[in-house]
Amino acid sequence: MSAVDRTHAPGAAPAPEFRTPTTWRETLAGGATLVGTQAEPLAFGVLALAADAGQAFVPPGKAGLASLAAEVLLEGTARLDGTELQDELDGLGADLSASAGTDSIVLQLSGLERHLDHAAELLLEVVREPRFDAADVARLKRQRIARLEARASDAARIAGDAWQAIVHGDGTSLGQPSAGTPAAINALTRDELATYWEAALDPAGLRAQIVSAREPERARGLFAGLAEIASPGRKLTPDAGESTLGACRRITLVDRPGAPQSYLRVGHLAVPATHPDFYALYVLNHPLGGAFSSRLNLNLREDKGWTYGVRSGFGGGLRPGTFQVAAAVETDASAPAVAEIVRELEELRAGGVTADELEFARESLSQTLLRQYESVGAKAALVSNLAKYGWPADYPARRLAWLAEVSKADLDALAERHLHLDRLEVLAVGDAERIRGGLEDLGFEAFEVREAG
Amino acid sequence: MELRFEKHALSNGLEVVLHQDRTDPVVAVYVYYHVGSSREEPGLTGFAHLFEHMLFQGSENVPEGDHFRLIQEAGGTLNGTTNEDRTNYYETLPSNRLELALWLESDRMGFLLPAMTQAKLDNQRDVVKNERRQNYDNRPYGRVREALAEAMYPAGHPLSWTTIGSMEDLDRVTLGDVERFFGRYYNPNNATLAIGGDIEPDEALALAERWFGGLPAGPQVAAPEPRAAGLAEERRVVQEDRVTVPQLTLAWPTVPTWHPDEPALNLMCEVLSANRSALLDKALMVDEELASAVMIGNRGLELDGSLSIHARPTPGVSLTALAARIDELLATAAEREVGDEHLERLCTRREGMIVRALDTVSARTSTLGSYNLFHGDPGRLGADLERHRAVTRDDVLRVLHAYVLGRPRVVLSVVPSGEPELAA
Repeated sequence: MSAVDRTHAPGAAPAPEFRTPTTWRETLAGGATLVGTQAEPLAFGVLALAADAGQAFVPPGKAGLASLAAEVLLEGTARLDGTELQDELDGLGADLSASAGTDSIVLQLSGLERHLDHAAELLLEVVREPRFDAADVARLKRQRIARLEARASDAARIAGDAWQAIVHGDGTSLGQPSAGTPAAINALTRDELATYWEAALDPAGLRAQIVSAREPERARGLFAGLAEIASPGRKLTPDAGESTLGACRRITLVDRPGAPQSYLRVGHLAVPATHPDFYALYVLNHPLGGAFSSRLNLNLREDKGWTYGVRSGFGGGLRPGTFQVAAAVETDASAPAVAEIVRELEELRAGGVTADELEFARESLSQTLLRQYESVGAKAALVSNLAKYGWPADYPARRLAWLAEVSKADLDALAERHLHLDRLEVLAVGDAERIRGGLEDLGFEAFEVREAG
Repeated sequence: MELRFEKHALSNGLEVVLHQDRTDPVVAVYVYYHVGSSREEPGLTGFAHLFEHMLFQGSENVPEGDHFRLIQEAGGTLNGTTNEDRTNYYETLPSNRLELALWLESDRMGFLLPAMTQAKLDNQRDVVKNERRQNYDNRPYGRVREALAEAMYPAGHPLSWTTIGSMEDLDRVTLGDVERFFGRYYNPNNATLAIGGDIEPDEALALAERWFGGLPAGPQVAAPEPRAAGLAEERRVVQEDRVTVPQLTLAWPTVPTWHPDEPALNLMCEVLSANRSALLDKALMVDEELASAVMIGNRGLELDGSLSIHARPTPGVSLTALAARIDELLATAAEREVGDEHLERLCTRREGMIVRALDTVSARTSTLGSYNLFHGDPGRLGADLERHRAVTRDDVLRVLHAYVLGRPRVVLSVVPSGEPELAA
């Protein structure tokens, strides 16, 4: 065999053709949306049902209402108690989860394809006839409070909750901790939780999703029971409180005495996923902190060694979300790391992306789309996006076309429009005694100390 | 459930596993090396993992930073992981870029050392120390495994430390250590290359031969011999940490992986705590509300295995009371009937979990590569499921007595700093 030339990376074979999975969509009697895709013969399928509920529909002071209501759903149905429900799911090789996000409560069932009919019946039973037993609710409340106490020592959680409050504002729905506070959880009643779910189960706001090996015609039948759900007569309404950008640059410090690292967040309120610029912002973020080889990670990790990793991103759903840089850095590097992050943001906003970065992002993200929808999990995420945002079925192909065209000027304009560097929020959860002075010396207009949790 | 594969060996000893699945234009590449933290020497704990980091710092023909950049530019993802028994490196790419991954993997398998510098080592040492701070030191209950390992195994036993290692040992690592470790373990004859997804097996094999075939074989590495913990009596350990709620861990030495008793131990854990209908979970979390979280697992490694129960008490419940109740429940488990229907249900549950875990080309390729590395047979998945399906209720009761009830164990209490009196 002749020696192989190792001095250059081997070239690419011809690129595979890009295919978005074929999806189907319909509206059921009563108004529920149904979106599905047929996957190649598989051993398991995914059924999901999303309701217009979740964090945005939790009044201030009721923190934890949505996430606890979701958890109670798994405590059984009129026919089965929680233990029997779990045993029946196990016998179908199925996993059922219920969770509350910002815009929705989502029930998701992944189960063996051969038992999917039975599993779908079970899912609908949980949705339509949840038990909401008073004793179960009381127990889950006590358990939730115990878990909140245990996680009070978790710096990552403290940072997550504090960041929501800082960006969305104390006293707003989205500024509250999604898991609740001990006091708020303690005050919730069984009737409040049950009523919340009844109102959430408004057929007009339901989004059902299917990934299965079945033909669309047979797949639809799995959710036929949805058409029988009657309108509850009242709807949940999102909280009217509006999140706004801060007035100036502000640092918020949460003390964690003796911590060997500080959790840092730097960013601000940002546009929802439905904003026309949202995908473009994802692309803009790529050279900043969206990939391992981005400016922030190469600087803070691969050059300075201050952190195990740093990432940035725009996150949002149907409502405004956040732009944030997030890292855990060694304690003594806290203030220098904030300074470096701010400098990187200022450089990006002033100078924009480089030609190499643009090509890197264009190549990387286009090629990523080629392999994006391979798994059942990825297909489930695709149909979820289609159902939630109402995007056209070929939105991945449109993104691919847009990537081919986007210019440096386009991205630079986005940086100017969407990075609000005079309104930056900085959060540091760390050992105040060691990091406070350095943070104060950064000279931000406002400096606050916040209690954990 | 079977995954299709073919297996070949190159003349330098590299074993190549190929898995064709043309559903999507995706290819996954895994290189598994048969070395992990249980090959480390005392005084250099954490080295195998730090070494893994060094493999992303470039090699003779791959400039620093290019490994990540090139894979990501090609639309791929990549990473590496280290555990006690093995280290793996992997990429998932659009299938037209298979050769890029093979070039990168073969260059670092064959030509790593010319690219190693003190500055890179110092940088990655700092990164790993921050990994330790983030995932162990500054995380509640993050040092539980470390305390368990120290308590269960005698000093010098390779399972007496964990993969992340100690700060002091990380400080000790030199470029000479990197060179020796590379020469000893990072050779084609101590590795498995697995390629899965949208490939033609013949073409993929030719590419593997092209990029890896010319690398020289290294010294033979003997398979590790099981080495029991030898725990003679109960050991009670208290760890003070930055936590608000205490946590109890009970742990028993069990058996190395693929020991005949391993499947029954796994099933026993599921009978005790697979979900809220299981004995421990139902009693502790539902009926009696003594705990807000219960976790149980049996983990078999090449040298030895262990079974751990972790439980966090509800307010007002002491670790001592929690431990006593768990002991009572374990004793009643020995009296309790475990129905065939129950075991059957657990097997279906297990099948569902495995099928979901094999959702991606990457996961399937990894599974084949891992079975090959440890057993010389990529197709062990079916046998793995079968040995669990063959477990009877008598087996479950037998291992409960043989390894748990009344056996030497570690009782670990994690308590808030300054409150050692809360320990069990």
